[in-house]
Amino acid sequence: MAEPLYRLAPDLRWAVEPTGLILFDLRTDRTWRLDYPHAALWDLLSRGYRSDRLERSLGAIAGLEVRATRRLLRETLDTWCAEGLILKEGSDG
Amino acid sequence: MPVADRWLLYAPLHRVAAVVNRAALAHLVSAAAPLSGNECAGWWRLLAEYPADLPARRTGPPDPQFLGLITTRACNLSCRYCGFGAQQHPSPAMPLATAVAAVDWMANHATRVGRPTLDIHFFGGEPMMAPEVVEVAVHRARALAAERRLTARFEIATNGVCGPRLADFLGTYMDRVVLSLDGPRDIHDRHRPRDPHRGSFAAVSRTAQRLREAECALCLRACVTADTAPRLAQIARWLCDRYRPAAIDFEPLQPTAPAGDADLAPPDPYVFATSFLEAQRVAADHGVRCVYSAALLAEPRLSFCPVGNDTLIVAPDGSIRGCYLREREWQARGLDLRLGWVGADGTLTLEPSAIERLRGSAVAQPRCARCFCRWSCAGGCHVNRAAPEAAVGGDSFCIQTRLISAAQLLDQLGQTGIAKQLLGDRAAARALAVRPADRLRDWSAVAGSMANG
Repeated sequence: MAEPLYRLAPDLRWAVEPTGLILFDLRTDRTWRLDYPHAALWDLLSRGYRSDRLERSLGAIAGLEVRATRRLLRETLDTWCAEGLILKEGSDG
Repeated sequence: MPVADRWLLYAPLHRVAAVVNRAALAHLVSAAAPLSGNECAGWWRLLAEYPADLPARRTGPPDPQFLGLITTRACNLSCRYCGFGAQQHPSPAMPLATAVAAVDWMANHATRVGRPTLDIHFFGGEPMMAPEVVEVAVHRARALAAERRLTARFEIATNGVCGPRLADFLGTYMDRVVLSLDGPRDIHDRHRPRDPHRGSFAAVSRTAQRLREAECALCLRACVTADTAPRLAQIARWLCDRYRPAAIDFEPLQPTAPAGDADLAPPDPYVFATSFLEAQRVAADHGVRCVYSAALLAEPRLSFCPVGNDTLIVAPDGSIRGCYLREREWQARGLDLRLGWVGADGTLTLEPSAIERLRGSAVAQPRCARCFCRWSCAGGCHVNRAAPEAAVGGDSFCIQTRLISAAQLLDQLGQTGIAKQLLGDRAAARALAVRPADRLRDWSAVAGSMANG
């Protein structure tokens, strides 16, 4: 089954910090702190990479096997979707 | 060294430079201490002491200052002077596992030796032709640095033809971006086309503009030819005004077969030296540092480059070497700069005998023993300067390096007038440029006549 694509919520801005990054929601003034490996995933998503690229890069960055990488990716994207940080947009396939 | 009607005295290991008159020089040559109360007495005492921080050959386990990753040898430009042949010989990207293993080794090393920073440099080909390798290495290093309380620092040498998203990635995550930009469109597109019908200036300029607004330090690197050397001051002003870089690096063209075919010649060393110094003053007026890599006078060094400094440069195939150049280039000079390899299982192996061999090569530069630049240029590139034609003292490299070094010292001493006078007089410049020996003791033969003069 084709994987959905994601885009970042339009009102979000972020700043890179030594240990990760901080997200700001311009609309609600909420902030989120992302540590590694989630900070890396955010950066990769921000350049619009597809799921196979996200999975490969994230696995190498986090030092995880394929199955663990997929789980981390799915759980993180689901959480960010639920929080309104990213929006689902069509499919990869 | 004689400069105008004075002498430039330089003791690089003591960090002392002075412009002295004939009487002071005669005094020094005769090894007599100046009279008490003489204004020379302070530095005379200093010079009599053994230098505190004499650069020495490294010993003990390998201790690289930084890790170099050649992410790919591929390139998306067809620079007319390029001897790498990247487009003719397509190269795969470094496997992600190799990059990760190398970064892990460097992070472990930094932790083990108590180094506060984790320094990684990216090279090519064009390193951003393998963006995934750069992204993974950067994020892996940042993740490990965060975990171990290290400061991750990144530097990349790029041609800048990578698109806005990757340019923003560089601006965000790199501490220093060395961007090749040879000058305005007419120069840059002549030197660095994408293909025979299309220049790269527009794309590189867009990247430079984005990097100008980013937090990274932007260093613009320009290759200088015989045609562009007389325009360096104008080029420096244009680069400063348009891109506000942190630094500009002017390097003379290395003669290559493709450069010859394209009718591009290295600059005359006297013209390059004179123009570089004018450009350096223009850049200084804009608050921009302008450098020529063989004339960096701030810190004495034994080696011009990573060779001999234990730096680990990992090639796309996982081989580890002390040099960015292709293996065939060292082999053509009879050099072996391999240090080890990254295995398929992710282990990094270094050969102790290879480390020692490279450490030894960084020390022995007998041709430079009597040159005042020996601790700053340190003999130049180990590969290019190993060529039979790289004669002692009289070649273009030595001429421009000696002239620029001497003039920079004069500038720092507030003697810009003497520096200009020196470079404006070809006979005087030549006399300084090709002097076979600069050591004070080499003046002993003339000491008597000077003292009596």
